[in-house]
Amino acid sequence: MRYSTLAAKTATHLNEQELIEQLKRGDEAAFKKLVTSWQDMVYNTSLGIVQSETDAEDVAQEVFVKAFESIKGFKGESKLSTWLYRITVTKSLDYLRSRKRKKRFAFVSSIFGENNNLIVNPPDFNHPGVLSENRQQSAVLFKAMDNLPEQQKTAFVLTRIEGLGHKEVSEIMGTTVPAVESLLQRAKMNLKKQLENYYRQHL
Amino acid sequence: MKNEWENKAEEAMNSLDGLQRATANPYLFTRVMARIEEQQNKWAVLANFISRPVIALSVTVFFVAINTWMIVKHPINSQLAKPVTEVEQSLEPEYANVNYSLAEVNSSEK
Repeated sequence: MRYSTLAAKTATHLNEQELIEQLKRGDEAAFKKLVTSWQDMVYNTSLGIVQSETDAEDVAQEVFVKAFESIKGFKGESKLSTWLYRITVTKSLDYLRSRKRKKRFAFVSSIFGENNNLIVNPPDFNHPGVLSENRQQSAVLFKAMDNLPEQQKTAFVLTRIEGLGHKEVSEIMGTTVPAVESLLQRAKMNLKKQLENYYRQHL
Repeated sequence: MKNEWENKAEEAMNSLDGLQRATANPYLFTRVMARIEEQQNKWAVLANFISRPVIALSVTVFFVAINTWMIVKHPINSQLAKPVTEVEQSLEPEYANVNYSLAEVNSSEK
């Protein structure tokens, strides 16, 4: 049993090596395989961070364009999935920062009367994979997640939404396992505090 | 005993249990390829513009003209090979061996 698992892992590694070589040669079929194999992983991670289906799709497209452009520089020191997760997290956080900048700019413009459009806050986000009986509570949780610092939010999304282990998260975030555990602990504490405040006011 | 809001907060914290992974648009690959082609086209348009004979020739003429103007207006060789003037010649022996110490200068002043 153990040998068969090892053999499967070796085969996967070989397939990945082969895929990387093909990608470096600019093979379109290989690139299609890359996109179709990892598109849900990229989209789901981005969706957890940016909390908008339209924006998450935009980010997913950007991630694969970036992967296409920079595959020649991929040294194979990490798994292909880890590399894609890193690009996804970076692109999603960049997207959030740019959205915040635009929001601030729109606010300043509205003060000076240059832009009189109302700044509309996005509606409550509901992840499409949440069980229907949990939809209401998860919307409140996602709102609270939006207020977390970037690192805590990333660690929380990768473990709770993507279901990754602490070791993999540490490889993606370029940090240690204890650091990830600490980030998660702080994220949970912050979320709990925010949720309790919310329910104290709304019950 | 927990308050009602604490229970609600805990329920919210556990609301991601049993979460299913969201699936991407099935046409994502087509859209990614369209984006890549669009980007490559942008560079191709720029490259085409620069490589137009009129543009390429104008840029070359411009740089040649600037270089010619610089050479004519500020000749480097003429500055380097400047002839020694009479005044400079007359001062040359005076400054040829300047080995005064500070003490000598002070005593001569007294």
